[in-house]
Amino acid sequence: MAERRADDQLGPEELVIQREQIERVRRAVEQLPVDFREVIVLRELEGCSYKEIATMVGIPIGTVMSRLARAREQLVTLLHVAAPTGDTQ
Amino acid sequence: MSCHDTLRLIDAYVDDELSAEEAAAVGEHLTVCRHCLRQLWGREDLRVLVRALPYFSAPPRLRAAIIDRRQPRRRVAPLAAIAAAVVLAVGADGGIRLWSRLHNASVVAEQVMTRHVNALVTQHLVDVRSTDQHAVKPWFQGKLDFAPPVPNLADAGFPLLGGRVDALAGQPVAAVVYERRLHVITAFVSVGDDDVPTESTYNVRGFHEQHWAPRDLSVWIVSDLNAEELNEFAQLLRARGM
Repeated sequence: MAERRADDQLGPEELVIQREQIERVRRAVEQLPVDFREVIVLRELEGCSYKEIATMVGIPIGTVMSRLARAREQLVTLLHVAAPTGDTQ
Repeated sequence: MSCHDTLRLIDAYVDDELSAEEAAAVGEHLTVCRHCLRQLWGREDLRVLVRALPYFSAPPRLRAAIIDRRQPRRRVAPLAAIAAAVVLAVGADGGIRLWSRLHNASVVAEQVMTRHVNALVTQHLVDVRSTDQHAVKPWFQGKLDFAPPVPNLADAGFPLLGGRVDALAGQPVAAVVYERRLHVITAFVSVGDDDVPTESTYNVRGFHEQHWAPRDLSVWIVSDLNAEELNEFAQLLRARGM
């Protein structure tokens, strides 16, 4: 993916909102079934590749892919993550 | 590629786990399908949210494996960078909406690279082939609702190859193509604000990119040329009206 650079800075109110939402995300991840939670943690927080996850968890790479997809679907549902609906321009 | 196949591969695409061919096919579909593009944004937003967690306990049976893992953590974006760039808010439905200029930047940067590579692979670099800016610029007339600047940089060692009409995120763009020795450089020019931080540079899978927004235009340049020479190219373009 691209190297990213952003110039935005958060104000005090946004920081409070951010803290609340981080807690909400943490609770959502905790609600995942353990099989899903472990692939999400390994992928997003430990930065493991699919191959590494497959080795560590002892499952085929195809299962890593499907578990990650289903875990993310559940998180999207739990968090009601809303993709932007406007135009990209 | 169909929407069904794209959505089946969207997680592996976000995770950069697809082959170059599969990634190119997904990227191609994302340039023309806003439905799938929004799914991608949802995934990228989710990634930013999860990665913003300051801590999380791994399931017990994995802790030893993580500790034993020889390689250091990687790919996880620095928390400070995320915190500085992410704005979260609760919508009326109680859902989280993430306003981040990051996801747009990464998606557009990825598409810029994909369109550039696709043109190289299909050998469809230009629709109008000319080293003369006065032949290339008028060619866009009637094909786009804006007139893209087409500076002549031949004297600086960046001869013009020509131009074509391409698309980014479903929007028509002018692709003005130059070369430097054997390296092809594409300058994508479109109208409007694509909500990407201006004055930004990117490195996408070995391709260097720069983005800026002159007046009401948006310019992206991409090439496998080294970063220094691409920067020289960018400075020349900007000095000559792009």
